[in-house]
Amino acid sequence: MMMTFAGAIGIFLAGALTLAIFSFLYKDNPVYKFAEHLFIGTSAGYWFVYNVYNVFWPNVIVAWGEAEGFWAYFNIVMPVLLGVFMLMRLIPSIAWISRWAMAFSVGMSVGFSIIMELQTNILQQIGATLSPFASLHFNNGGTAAAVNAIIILLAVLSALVYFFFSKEHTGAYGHVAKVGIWVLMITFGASFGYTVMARISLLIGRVQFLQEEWWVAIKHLIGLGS
Amino acid sequence: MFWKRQFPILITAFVAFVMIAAFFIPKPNIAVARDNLQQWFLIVVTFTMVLGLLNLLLVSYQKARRGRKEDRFYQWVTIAGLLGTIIAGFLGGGIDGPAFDFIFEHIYKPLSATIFSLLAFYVASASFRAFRAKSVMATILLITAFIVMLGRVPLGEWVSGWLVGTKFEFLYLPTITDWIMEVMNMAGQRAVLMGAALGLIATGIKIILGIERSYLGGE
Repeated sequence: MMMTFAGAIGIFLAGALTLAIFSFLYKDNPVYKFAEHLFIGTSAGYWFVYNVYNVFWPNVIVAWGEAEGFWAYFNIVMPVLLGVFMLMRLIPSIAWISRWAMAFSVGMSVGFSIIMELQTNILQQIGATLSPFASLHFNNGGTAAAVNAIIILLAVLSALVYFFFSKEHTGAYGHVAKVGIWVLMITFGASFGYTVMARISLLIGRVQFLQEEWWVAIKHLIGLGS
Repeated sequence: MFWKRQFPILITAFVAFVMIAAFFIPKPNIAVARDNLQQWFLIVVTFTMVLGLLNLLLVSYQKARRGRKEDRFYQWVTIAGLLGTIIAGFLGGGIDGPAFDFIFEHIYKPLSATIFSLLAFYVASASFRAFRAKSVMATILLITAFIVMLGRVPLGEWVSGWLVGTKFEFLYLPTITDWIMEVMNMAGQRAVLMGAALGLIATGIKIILGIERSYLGGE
């Protein structure tokens, strides 16, 4: 693998920072703290710059140059004004003005999420749970799919029963709620296992990087590699 | 007092109403209003990031000047990282420029991936404490997590591989893992999603009606 000097320096830095973070596994130490604070600074800076180039520049600066008519300018000036109001939070005497921008953001989030939640997490989920019953059959190899569809329906209902706290979980209702808890425990266990595997694969990725790239970069820097 | 308390609630209610109405009323005018508001929101979010950035700078600077002596240096590291990235982004040829790309590839990306990979160790150690099979519920959780983890690695295929081709093939670990993920896990996730969505909608309605106003500082 051909490597430039600048590329080798970059990979060496990336490997050193990787090891700095892993050093926390031993105990909290100055090297880890350095890498941690560097991450805070660079990630805040990175997302800010990314947002300015991808949102602010095209929607404000470029849009201003192309704007024609009152409403086009209005649609640029108003959000910028709201944004400036947001910054008023830093001036205690007029910090209350930032509430208008905050209220706008909250209103947008609420209005958007009510519709989104209703569509994707309620109606579509109900549809996905019930639609297999339209073509349910127990012949020609359809038994497994049919049994799974019935299990999914019963599991969803029992878990929803568990979430309904307006009625006391006693008697037959309590038994169904208990099945709901089992379903949720299986879900949490599966999610946990899945998350651990995702983290492990990230860990493997970092170790592979150290072995396959970092080591090559070090050899390049000390004159042993190509 | 109106401008401080009632006016923000009116803004929230109006904006949320337009967003909801645009979904139910198929008129071009209201769809345009919704699209414009979404555009406004993106711009306001950028300013919110500026606010967060200034706050980070301010807090880090204060700690660097008057904080604990042994932590002061690290606050300067945060400030240097932040300003360095911003300068590289704006003066080093933009987000596709070599300086910004260098910071992303060789500082941000490895740090981000390593911090998340570090969680593998902590999740594993936390599971030792949390997963003691003290009750039926904890045992179900423990067994499920164990099967899913084992079924996703070659070891799972190896220990249960001899079952393939026999009448107990359904006990092959990757098959059980797939069934857990596609049936039981999906059912549980659906119930959680529906429950959370109902809770979110209820809270949203409370915000629109001005009953919930903690976002205004509790007043």
